[in-house]
Amino acid sequence: MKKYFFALLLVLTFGQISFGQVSGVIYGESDGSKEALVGAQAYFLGAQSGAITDVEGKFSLAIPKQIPDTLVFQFTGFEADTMIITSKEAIEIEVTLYSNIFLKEIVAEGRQKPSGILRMETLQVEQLNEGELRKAACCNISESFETNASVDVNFTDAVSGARRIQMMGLDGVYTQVQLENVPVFRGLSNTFGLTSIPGTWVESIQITKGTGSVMNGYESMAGLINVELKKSETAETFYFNAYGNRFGRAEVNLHGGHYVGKSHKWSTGWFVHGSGLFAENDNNKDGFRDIPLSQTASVMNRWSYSGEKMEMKFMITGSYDQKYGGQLGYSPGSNDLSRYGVDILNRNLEAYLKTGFFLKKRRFGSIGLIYNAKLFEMNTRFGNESYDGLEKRFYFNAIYSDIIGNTNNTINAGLSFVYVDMDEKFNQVPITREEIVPGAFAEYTYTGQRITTVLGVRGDYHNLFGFQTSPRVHLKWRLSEHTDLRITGGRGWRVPNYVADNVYMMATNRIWVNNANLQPEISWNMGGSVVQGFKLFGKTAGITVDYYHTRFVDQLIMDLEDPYTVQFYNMQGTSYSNTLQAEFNYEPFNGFDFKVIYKLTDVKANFGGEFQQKMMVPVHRGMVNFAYITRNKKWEFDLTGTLMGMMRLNPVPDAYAADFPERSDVFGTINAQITYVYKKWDFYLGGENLTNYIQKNAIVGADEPFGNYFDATRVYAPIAGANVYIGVRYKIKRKDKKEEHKH
Amino acid sequence: MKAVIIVFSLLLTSLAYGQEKKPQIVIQTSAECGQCKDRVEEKLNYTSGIIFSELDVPTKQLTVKYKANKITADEIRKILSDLGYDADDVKADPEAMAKLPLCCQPGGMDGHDH
Repeated sequence: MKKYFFALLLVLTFGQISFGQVSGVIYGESDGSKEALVGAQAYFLGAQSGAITDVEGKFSLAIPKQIPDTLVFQFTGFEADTMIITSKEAIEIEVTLYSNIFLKEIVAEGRQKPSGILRMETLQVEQLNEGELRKAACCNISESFETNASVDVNFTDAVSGARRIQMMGLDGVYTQVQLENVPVFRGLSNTFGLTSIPGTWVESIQITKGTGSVMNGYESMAGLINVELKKSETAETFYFNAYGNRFGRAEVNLHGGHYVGKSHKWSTGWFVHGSGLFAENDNNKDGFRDIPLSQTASVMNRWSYSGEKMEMKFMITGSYDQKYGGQLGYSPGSNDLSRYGVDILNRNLEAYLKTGFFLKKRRFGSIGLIYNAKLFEMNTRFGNESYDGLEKRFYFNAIYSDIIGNTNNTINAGLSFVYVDMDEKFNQVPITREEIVPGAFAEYTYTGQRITTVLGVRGDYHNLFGFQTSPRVHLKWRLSEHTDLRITGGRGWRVPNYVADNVYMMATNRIWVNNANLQPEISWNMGGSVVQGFKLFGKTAGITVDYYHTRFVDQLIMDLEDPYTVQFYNMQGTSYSNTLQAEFNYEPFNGFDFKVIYKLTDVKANFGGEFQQKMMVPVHRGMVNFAYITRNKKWEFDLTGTLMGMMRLNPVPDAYAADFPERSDVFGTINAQITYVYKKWDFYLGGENLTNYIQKNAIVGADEPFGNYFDATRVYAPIAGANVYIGVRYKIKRKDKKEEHKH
Repeated sequence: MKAVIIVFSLLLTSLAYGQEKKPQIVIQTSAECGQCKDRVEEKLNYTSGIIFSELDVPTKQLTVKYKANKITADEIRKILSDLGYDADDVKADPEAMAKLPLCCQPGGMDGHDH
């Protein structure tokens, strides 16, 4: 198999016939002084050929066969720049890149695809840009992954409307989800955190497979998702969005950004969101609301300062989210005890401050400080069960960045501090925990001609569980101009919260049995990917294949094999996940993108004393996406089809076995959207689950919701049927953009 | 639901049909940066009779497809001139040119670092 694969790669790698060369020097300017950059990258966007500067900052690169092509100059910590090469004659150039103090902020230049693997990154990072996010116009971050196969989003149960993410077939808790490099969607906000951020606020999302950088924490065990919101410097002057769908959901989003004062040093942005679901739906006729009634409001205000010596970003955000699910006709607060009801109230308030300083004496040195404070309160009731949680969290991260000798060698080192106070009450039983985790980390990056290596290690001292280390290695090898090979390995850990991590399991009347010792979950992840670009009939095409293996050293297992209980215990024997994902993408003609993805997920552990595949995780799944934009950019069409393989489902008591099979049916869904752009206006019409697939028998014991056998967590497919939505956007483009360079 | 799929496919096919009296021309312009590209394409794509317009920044060549019974090539050149750009032999309107964003001014890209 492997042999064939590499043979295929060789066939697909094309030689380049060159006429002339581009050569020159790349300089970096920070704090007013200029120095040659070692290890900076110059590459052609179209031909995907590139070079790396030597110790004197020099590079030379053959001009590709097909011109014009865009030449991109890039170096970590600096704003990328581009130049268009139109002639095959040899030229010499000098380029100056300007420092960008905040680490890892990805600058997109040139014509970029709405999504794709970031070729310059050492880690396998998939980026979803605004173009990709527009493909699924509704509603919050959890929907943003609809057209992406690396992250799966599933409903947790048939009554709360909550959605959870999965990476590598592993629950979302093993993926570190961060907002602008701050890990915030954790603890209590695991279940509903992603739904608190409206999709229209998002600028881009980066998905890293495997353990992420050590700089942002220890919890990225299966992967890392970073969400970048729109910045006050670049957000539209005014943006309005309204959305409505056939289930009775309505949504309004407003935001805007502008500079304050004439110096263009300060800027501010404001963001408002309001939404709700106002109608009862019961399309699967089980007597329960398919989607809970809801009311949500979110606001955010952000400020940014960008000066010669320092940069500063401040952000404050709050959200209020109320949901009422359960049986039709249920109204909250009523004394009607005959109807099963679900009440969920989430309130969130958080603030971020980021400051970055350039060092006077060290030209490439900078210090970044990040502070985050968060208050999250959750009150839930599912039938007779209740859960209340209050999480107070403070996070601090300090990163020092510099070069060692020359810019081939860079180092990021720093200190972090996490304080978490969890105050939970599960069916009146209090659970409290205070965590104090100081940590230190160092990450060394070597950037060579073809090989880039990132070696990182962090140590954290947990007040309850002692010292933990997280070593991580990332390697990128540019096999050819069109081929990247990436290898990664590392350790991650987290402290589980058996109730908060599984709040949605209250949607079953099984009895919770906790036999677990509270101890950290620890895993090793290793894997790799190959990205191959090539031309097919003269048009751009690409293949990406990746494979990851996650092996747990310690894990808290939730076991549903016995139909009457939810059991928690520490892992016995082995627990692992293997995932293989293959993607082929092709642009057969201008404006038309096509991709097809296959994913194999093998997640096994001992459940009910038997080593077997995890429930709710299909072994096989596939996805296909067609996107077309007309040449006058007035129409956008998008069509996504997914196919889900068979999954193992929660066992049910014998009395129900006839209606509730052990395994799920194989099913497919189709989503489509059409957007019409007229000057400042966008109008869109879309549909989800257009084949109207509805899972039969989603709720066990729906006729007796207070009985012992009630179980609404057996949801693997849509329960609400086909959705049709319409929406409008109105945008006033930013006119006060800062001139990027002095002319 | 089928209706939605039918509408969707109809829209797709309607875009592919109809070739009569819809010439495609290439105009050499003086537009030389991304901002110019946005300005030119936005203006032309919302001009009646134009099917699409695409500016290739490196070569400054504008590809335009239009309906011959609604607009003529000379009228398109005139629009470009009024916007402040040269269009083949038609020179840019000097007043409009003076009002262009910095990078769209003739030679606006020469002062750039590279």
